[in-house]
Formats: sequence, structure tokens, C-alpha cells
Amino acid sequence: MERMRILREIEEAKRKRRREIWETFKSNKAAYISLYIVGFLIFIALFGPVIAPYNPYDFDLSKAKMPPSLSHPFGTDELGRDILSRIFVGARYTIGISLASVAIGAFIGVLLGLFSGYMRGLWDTIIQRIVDVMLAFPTILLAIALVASLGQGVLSLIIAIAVSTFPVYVRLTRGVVLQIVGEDYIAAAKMLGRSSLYIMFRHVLPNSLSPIIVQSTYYMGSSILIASSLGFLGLGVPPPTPEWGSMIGSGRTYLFSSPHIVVFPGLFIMIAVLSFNLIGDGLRDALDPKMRTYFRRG
Amino acid sequence: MEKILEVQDLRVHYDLPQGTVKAVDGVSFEVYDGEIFGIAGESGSGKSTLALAIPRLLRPPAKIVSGKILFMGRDLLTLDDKDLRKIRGREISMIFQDPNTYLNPVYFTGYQVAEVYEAHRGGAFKKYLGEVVKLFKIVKIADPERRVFTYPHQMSGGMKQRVLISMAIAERPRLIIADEPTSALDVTIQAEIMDLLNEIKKEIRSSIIFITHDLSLLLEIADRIMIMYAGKVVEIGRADEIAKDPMHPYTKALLATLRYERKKRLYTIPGSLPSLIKPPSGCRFHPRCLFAKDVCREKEPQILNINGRWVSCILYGDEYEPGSQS
Repeated sequence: MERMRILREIEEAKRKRRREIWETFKSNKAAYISLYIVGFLIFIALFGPVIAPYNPYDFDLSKAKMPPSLSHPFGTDELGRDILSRIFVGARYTIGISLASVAIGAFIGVLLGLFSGYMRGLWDTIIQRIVDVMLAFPTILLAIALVASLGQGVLSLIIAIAVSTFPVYVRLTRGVVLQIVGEDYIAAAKMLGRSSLYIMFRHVLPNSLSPIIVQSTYYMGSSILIASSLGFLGLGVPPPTPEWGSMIGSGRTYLFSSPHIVVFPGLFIMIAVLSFNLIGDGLRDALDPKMRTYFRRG
Repeated sequence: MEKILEVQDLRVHYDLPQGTVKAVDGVSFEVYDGEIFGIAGESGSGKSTLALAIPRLLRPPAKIVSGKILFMGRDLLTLDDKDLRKIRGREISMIFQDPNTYLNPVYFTGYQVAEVYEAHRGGAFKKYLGEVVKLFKIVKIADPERRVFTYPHQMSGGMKQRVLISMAIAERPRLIIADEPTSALDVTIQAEIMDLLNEIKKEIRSSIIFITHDLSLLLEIADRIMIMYAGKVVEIGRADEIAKDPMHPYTKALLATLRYERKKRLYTIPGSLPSLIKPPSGCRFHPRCLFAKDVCREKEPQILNINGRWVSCILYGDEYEPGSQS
């Protein structure tokens, strides 16, 4: 009986904390709206082919470069393919690639950063020098080089973006970890007879998680940009796959005669990046109580 | 009485860019079963460094240079990580100085106490919540069932110190190191915590090393007292004997500062603690000592055993045979 009541109270306290975070997040209107936009983007990424009004691969040269109309809300591209359908189907590539690369990059980066910051010493030096070298390259250049060597395709894109962004997580995590390791409660945990591995994952990681989550959200935005840039440069998912970046790339020759070919995919990229960044802002306010007092919003 | 802990000629240095700070410089003492062993000294006398050195919790730039720490006959300085972990928390535990920073802010306090059991007995920590409630009752936390599920920031300083104490006594260790457990608290709460420690002491029968800069507090609660000055042991003796008949000039001066008479200024020891990078030659206390002679500047005094008390001062060197530094 006692146990049941105790467990119920744990659940209650957890729910309360979650509700607090959610309320703070909701009070940031821009972030709240962005959450719906991202929800919508994920929806079209999942169900794009189902809700697309036309087949995104069907070309009809007689209908090429048609401006937006009722039958083609976003117009058609240089081969007469419906742009709306292509954006809907392309969402899964652009967003999926970014999501996967951020997840992989953050995972590797956080592990290395945690290890590096907690252990210090020789391993720290080795990891940090490697990260130094990787950070010295511009991200996009590194990604281009990686795609060039791995070959085109969704998987190599994900790997390329993950590899070129993980050093940032290493740095970020290490910085936070260094601060946390100096905290007295880590010494107290050691005094309880805890192993290093346990302290790393149970005491250090949870305390450093907030900035990492916030940073990952920001990085969703830049990963979308990198993925689209690679597509624009012709290094992304090979045509005719309708990835947003490559849609801009192939339509750029008609920028002045038929701007809608470039403008609509560009608009979607912008909205996606902006939404993720605004969510990042909201999360920062909600998850980091220290920041909250400094940057309280109306 | 059984010896629980024996520290032999321990030296701890901090390697700083400005030079080497000899924070603990050749300290030896023994702690017996069931006693409260008090360590007193000014800020910077090396007492906290000593406290962290015993369970090997020191972090760089601090380094144990030499010495032995024999706990129940085993030298803690030669143990590997795994064996050390078995001792920490179960056989030696610690009550820290500032209860506000020694609890992890992201977990319920009860979980953190349950962790002591989890660390040494295995299994999920939720299994031990009943034990935690019992512990909270022992340390007199009101409404213990509810307090298990509060975060550290929802508690007062005194309450957090009670939580830390409950962690320290959870496994009924042989030795508890209390490093200024009341310094960060209000005077009224201090008194409550001291009462609590006294009570718990009777129940769990651990030896306690009680470290503080408050000598008057030690005289009340400790069985034996060690006075430290600038990283060195100045005097060790029974508390009542030290109170009645302090031998070392520094101990005498310390006790003089405690004496309060109406319409008289409180006594203060002139000068301040010397730099530990370049300590004074000879006896470290000589620049501030009222009894200092010329020899004090040149010769470092031996620590002498005088009728069961240890004193390191040349004042006693001539009358008595120098004792061995065991």
C-alpha cells in the first residue's frame, strides 16, 4: 500500500514538472506556433505521397513553367511537374535527413564530450585536438568532401552531415560537463562509492542535458540548410527525387522568368529552419531556469 | 580500544603556477573506535584538505605526495578504484560543509539517499525507499514520506544537511568524516544539527572525525582534539585536558580568544596565517608566538609525546624525552 502511494506520488511530481515546462514553453507564442508548423511539416513528411494531388515524377512539357493557379497552387516546374506535390513528397527527404543526421551527430558528440570532459587527461587532449581540426573546416566544405567520397544517396548524406556537425556537440557537452564535474554533488556521489561510468550517466549527463537539447533543435535548422545546400549543389539525393534544395538548384536558371519554381521550395526551407530555431528559443527558456530569469518574454 | 584509522606522515601538495602549496605537511594521528576526534584550525590550516585526502577525493591540482592512511589495517592510498568504492559510503562516509551544493539538483532527495544502498547492495533504488523513510525519521525530518519526493531546492539548508547526514549514516559506517557540517548554517540550526549528531552517534556507534574552525564547539563534543596550524599538527590531546591545560602557545592563544569578559576586548592572535608556498623557517608559528625564542626561527620542533599528549613546541623539548613520530 505504502509503496503504491509512494510510486503514485513520484508520477504526480514528474507530471507537475512536465506541466511547468510545457506552460513556460507555451507562454512563448512564436515557439508555440512553430511547434505546430513543425508538426505540420512532419505530417507531410510522413504522408506526403498520400496527400500530394499529383504524381511528383510525372512530367508534361506542355504544362511546363506554369505560374500558380487553382489546379496547380504552387505552379509547375521546368518539366511540367506539380511543385506542391514535389514539396510534399520532398519533405520526407529534407526533414528526414536532417533529423537522422542530428540524432546521430548529437549521439556521437555527446558521448565523446561526456567522456572527454569527465576523464580529462590524455584522452581529452586527443579528442579535443581531433575536434579542433574538424572545426577548422567550414561545415559545408567538410560535408561536400564527405559526400564526394561516400557517393550520392540518402545514407551518405546523413553520414556526411552527422560527421561534419558532431564536433560542435563534443565541444558543447565537454564545456557543460567540465562545469558539472566540479560541482560538490559529484564529489558526494563518489563518496557514496559510485563508479565513474555511473556518475557520468546518472549524475553528469542529466544535469548537462538542457543545453544539449536546445542546441540540437538549433542544429535541426542548420542541418536542413546543409542538406538543401548539398542538394542545390547537385550533391544531394540524385534527381529526379524531389528534395527541396535540389528543386531550387534545378529551377535556378528560370529564377527571373518563372520565380515560383525557386520561391516555393525556398519558402519551405526558410519556414522549416525558422520554426526549429524558434522552438529552440522556447525550449531554452523552458528548460534552463537560469536563462529564463534573464530573457523572460511577454 | 581498537584503532580505526591511522594516518602516518601524510603530505598533500597543491601544484600551482605560483609554487607548491604544502597544505598538509607531515600529519600523523590515530582515530579509535567509537570516539569523536575533533580537528580544529584556522581557515587554510589544511583541515579540509586532510578531510578529502582520507577517502581520496582530492582533485588536481591537489596531490598526495607521501604518507600512509591505514583504515582498519588497510592502506587506502594503495587500494585500486574498485576496492576504494566498496569502502566509500559503506565504511567511510562524509558529511560535507555546504548542504546546498552537495545534493544533485535534478533528483528527488530520497532517491539520492536510496543511491547509497543501490551502490552497495544492488537492485533498483525504488526498493530502498522504505529504508530512506526510516532514515529520514532518524534524522528527524518532518513528514518523511513526503520529503522523499522533494527536490533539494524545495528544502531549507538545515533540512538538506539532515538529508546529507542520513546519507552518511545509511550504511552505518565505521568512520564518518564531518567537514564543518554546521559552518554554512544559522546558529540556531547549528545547535539542532549538533544535537542530532550527538544522538545519532549514540545509536550507530561510528567513529567521527569532526572538523571545524570552532574550537569551543569541539571542546563540548569531542573526545580528543587535534589542533592544526599551517598544515602541521600543533597539539593532540583529550578535549578536557586541552581545555584545562593547553600546552602549545597556539592552543593557548586560541583558547584565550574564546574567553569573554565584560568590558574587555576579545583577545585576538596578532598577524595572520603564513603563506604555505614559502612557510616561515623553523617553527611555523614563531612569527605570531608570544613565547618565541631565537631557536624557533631556525629549528623545526619535533612532535613530542608528553603523558599521552602530543605537542610540537621546543618549550617542552628540554624537559622531556622526544617521542617517536609514529
